[in-house]
Amino acid sequence: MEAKYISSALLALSGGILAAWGFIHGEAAYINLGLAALFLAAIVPVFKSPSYVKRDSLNIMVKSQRNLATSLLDGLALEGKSVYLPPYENLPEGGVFIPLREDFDLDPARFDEGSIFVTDVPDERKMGLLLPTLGKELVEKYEEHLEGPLTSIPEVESAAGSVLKSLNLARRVYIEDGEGEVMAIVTPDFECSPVNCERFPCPVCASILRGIAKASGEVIVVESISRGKAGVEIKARKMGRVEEWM
Amino acid sequence: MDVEDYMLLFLALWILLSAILVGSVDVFLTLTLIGILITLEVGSLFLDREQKEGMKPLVELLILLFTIIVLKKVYEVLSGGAS
Repeated sequence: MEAKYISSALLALSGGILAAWGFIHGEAAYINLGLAALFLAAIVPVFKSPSYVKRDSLNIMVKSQRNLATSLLDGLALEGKSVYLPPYENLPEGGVFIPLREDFDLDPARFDEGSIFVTDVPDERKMGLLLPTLGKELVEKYEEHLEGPLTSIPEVESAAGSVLKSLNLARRVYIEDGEGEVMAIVTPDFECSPVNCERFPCPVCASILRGIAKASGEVIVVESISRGKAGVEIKARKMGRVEEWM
Repeated sequence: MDVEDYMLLFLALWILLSAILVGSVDVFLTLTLIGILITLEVGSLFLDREQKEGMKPLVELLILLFTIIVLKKVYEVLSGGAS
């Protein structure tokens, strides 16, 4: 049994005894102390996080995942930078597409949630790797925080900032929405040196880009992800709505 | 210590000090409600949805008790004014 539940049970027990004793003897001070202990018994399990993973462990995990992703992308000879698709009929939650070639072309009609390797296309420029779930859970968290779907870029900035801060993943998220382009600055709370992130980003950057794609309803193509003064700078281009690519 | 720990520490100190320094149960309950609302408002950035939902029943209970306290006071004033 976890310590927080044991302390909560002890607080509830002592609080109940104190409140009852105070009530019987008409002592307001004891009633107050008893109620205080009862309230704290209710608050402690709610506020205390269930469990933690050491920051070093997270860094090791992220590093190993990045090495795996890099070797996978190199092995598949995927050269293109990642493309973020907003939700549409074939992909109701949106997705991330890593094209085979840098001068890629998209055929969203051929994508679906079950396909990973997009090879059944007439043109090599349309081939690539489809990752429908990269960053999806964090986007769900953003929408949980907003209590509704992401509909604008300021909403993405606010929700991502709050959620990533509460998860101790990033201290700050800033998004600048321009004409045809978008820039995001993330100040990560863990060891982060962007390598190959344009092709295969970590779930944090992927979730922000995915959120931007969802909120704007446009296809987003990453231009660069690099380390800047304020944090990790993500530069991306808006490439129009999915329907325009069909 | 985590931000949640600081919030819990602040709330525990607030509630305990209110319980010790205040002689009336009504005022103690009102101060507790104020303390919890302040903590939730200031710390909302660091709390996830589950934690906020978890605090809701306690806040609702305290609001109900606060309403009863206010109604009781209104009744006392009105009945005192009539006599």
